[in-house]
Amino acid sequence: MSNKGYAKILSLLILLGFLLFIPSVLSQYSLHLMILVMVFVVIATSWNILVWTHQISLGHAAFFGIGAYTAALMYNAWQLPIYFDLVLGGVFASLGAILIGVICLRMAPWALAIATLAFAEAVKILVIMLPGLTEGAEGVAIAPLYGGGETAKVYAYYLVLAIAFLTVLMAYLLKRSKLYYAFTAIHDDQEAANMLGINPTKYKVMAFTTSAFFVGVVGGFYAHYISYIDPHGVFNIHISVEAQIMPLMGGLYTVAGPVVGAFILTLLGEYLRITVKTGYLIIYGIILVLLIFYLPKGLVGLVEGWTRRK
Amino acid sequence: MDLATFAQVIVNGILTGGLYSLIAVGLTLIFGVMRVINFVHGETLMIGSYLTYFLFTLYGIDPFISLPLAIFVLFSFGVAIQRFFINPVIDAPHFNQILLTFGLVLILQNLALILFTGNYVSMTTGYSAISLKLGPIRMGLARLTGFVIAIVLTVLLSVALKKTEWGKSVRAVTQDREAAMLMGVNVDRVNILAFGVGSAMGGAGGVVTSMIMYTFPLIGMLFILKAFAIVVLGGFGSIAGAVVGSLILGLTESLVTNYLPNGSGWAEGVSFLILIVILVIRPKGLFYVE
Amino acid sequence: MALLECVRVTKYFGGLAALLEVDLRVSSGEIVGLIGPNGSGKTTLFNLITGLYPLSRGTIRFKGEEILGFKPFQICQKGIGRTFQITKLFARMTVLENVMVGALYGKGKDSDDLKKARLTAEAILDRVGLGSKKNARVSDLTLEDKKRLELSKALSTRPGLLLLDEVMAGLNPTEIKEVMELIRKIRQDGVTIIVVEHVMHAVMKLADRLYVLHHGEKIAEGSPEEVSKNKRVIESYLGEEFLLASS
Repeated sequence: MSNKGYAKILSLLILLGFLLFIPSVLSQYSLHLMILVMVFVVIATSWNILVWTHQISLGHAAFFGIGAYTAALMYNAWQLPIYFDLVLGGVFASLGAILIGVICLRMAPWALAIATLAFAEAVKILVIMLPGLTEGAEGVAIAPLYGGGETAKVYAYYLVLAIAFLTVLMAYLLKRSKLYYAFTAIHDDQEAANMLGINPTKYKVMAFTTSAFFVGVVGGFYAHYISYIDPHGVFNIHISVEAQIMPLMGGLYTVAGPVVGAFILTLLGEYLRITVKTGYLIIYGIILVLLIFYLPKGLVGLVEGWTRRK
Repeated sequence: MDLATFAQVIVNGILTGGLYSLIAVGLTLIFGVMRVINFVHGETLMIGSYLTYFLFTLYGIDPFISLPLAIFVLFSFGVAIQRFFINPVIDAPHFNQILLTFGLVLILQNLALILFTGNYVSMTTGYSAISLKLGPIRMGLARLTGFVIAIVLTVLLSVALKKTEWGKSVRAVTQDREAAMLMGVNVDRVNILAFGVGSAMGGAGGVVTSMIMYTFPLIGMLFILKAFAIVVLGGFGSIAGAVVGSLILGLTESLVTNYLPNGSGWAEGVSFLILIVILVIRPKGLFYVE
Repeated sequence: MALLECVRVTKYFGGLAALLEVDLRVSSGEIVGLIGPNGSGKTTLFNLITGLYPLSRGTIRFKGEEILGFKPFQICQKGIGRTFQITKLFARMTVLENVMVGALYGKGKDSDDLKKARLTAEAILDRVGLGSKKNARVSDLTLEDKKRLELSKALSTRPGLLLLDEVMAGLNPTEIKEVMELIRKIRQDGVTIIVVEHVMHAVMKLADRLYVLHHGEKIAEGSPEEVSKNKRVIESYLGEEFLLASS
């Protein structure tokens, strides 16, 4: 293996060690931040997978919300063990993805983008308008994860870390697999891919479903962690926006990109939220515009450019 | 079913449709010419709305007088946005365009949030409270005025598209950009003007909404989604389609609000339902310009 | 039994007949030429065979089996491959990766094995003459190389029948000779080929038989000599570039 390969593995191990170790040194608040970071690592990585097939989702919050509500409602009804909830959250989110994916399949990417936006808003309205099922706009309260309290937070952190790890692992394996050839072929020229034996529908839906699943799982986690969810909170367009900016900032066609973007933007967002309070999202807007103009390959692309030139 | 109520519902729907038509017409014009997904368009309404509000509350200027001013301001705004932000990415993948306009939206919305706070504001002009009665039907004077303004502006635009040089160029570019270029049409100029005029229409829409309802920083988002639904329904690039689509949306929302239990909550979802359904069954819309 | 049979193939777009009652047969091992002025329906026929859109009337049989209603990826699995007039290459992949796609998903199916697919792709690239450029990016290729790559992609699915849509368009005489050699090589490897071409002298030399389309109808069929002497064919080409093969 090349030196570069060893360097990569070493830095990954250091990162992992760091992540496993930090709960013992962080304050409760900082730990909460790290949990948020991990949530967005999952969302950003999952959203990125769609881009690999040239599909854009502007409404990824829909899957987050579906996962959150599924887990919350199921738990309140049947007290299932948390892992079941999370998986169910993922499954229902996937079903939503299959629904929207299949009916929107023949659309051009821009049409799909608008349709996913509409889908997210539509699901939000459905949740609000069916209080019998979902408690409507009042929201749902769930018993706090692991009983609440300080140690509970640490357990919560390890749980979401595991989810994030699995998600990133999934993305990594996917990128090295035969599937990535199908995805990229569809991305670059769907008609040509079709002519080479690739069923575009099958793989696009596959990507959509996979993407939605992990977002649904982490949505379920979030519901348990925060122990109260409401429609405007979990179907929030900001979640959808962050799902896009993070991979864009980090690097769209990479595995590390969304992770980097999630780290930076979650922490930046929290910092801004506290210091600037109102209208801090303006920074996000500026970042987004600057990224599109000057850094379309994201930060990872930038770094790769440097290392290549060496 | 009570005929008088039904008539009222229809009239309400039509008036609401008129309200929507200004922003929808602006959006379809821009998309027809530039084929760009433009989320910033919603903010033209927001700006027009706040402009009217402040001119009225600070200086007592009546919205009617603000209207030409708003049109001018938003026209310039549109031109600036087009030249500095949109034109550079006009040939970029749709993905970049969408995110870019999203970024601009975030900037504008939050600028408004910072400058004006998130409070919902509304103005009460002398005629805000007046209603006209036509038989059993009541129409708020403000609403009716807004409707008339919408009609007048839309008609003016249609005339401009048919009779002026610019209008003909716009129609040529909307139909077939390459052919238009070959025929010597200055596509860049057409783009800029279309964006300006479209934004001006959005701004006019903002003037009208400020007369009828409250204003807040995120109002653009509310209307842009409806505008997208209308434009998809009516067909990108078709003014007539945008008008018809606006009426359809307005009527459907009105009917749902009145005749479905909890209608007002469901009414918000109508635009999304329309959007998805049309994108699936007839993505080119009712009156598409090929 | 013919490898491919098109029987009374008809296609309407709106009220316009792009193809009208076209009969065509190709036997295993042949190189069949499909010629005709622009707009005569040649590419449409290819599109129908590969399932891009449905027929209005008639039927198409491949190896005796009706292939109506199948999608392109299914047609590929049955053993038909094609190139596109305007090359459809995968811009984000290297030359090698472009060819691996078909090796992984096409009829030859080196499935689930990236290593095998890579070897297959390398072999094809060598055969086609692109071996030295296998790690190049698509954007770095010349026009002729792009056409070779387009050809390689089609071959990567191990087709029994290959449809070539104007592979020689835009190439200079040397390049055309090279591509002609390549096509003969492919036939030797056991692939049946239908060639749509405007470069008249090339297709006259390559083809065993020719079909001539005009305004969507078949106006002539036969050997290159027969067709080149056919009055209707000559008439249909008047006003178009028309290079007769000099024998």
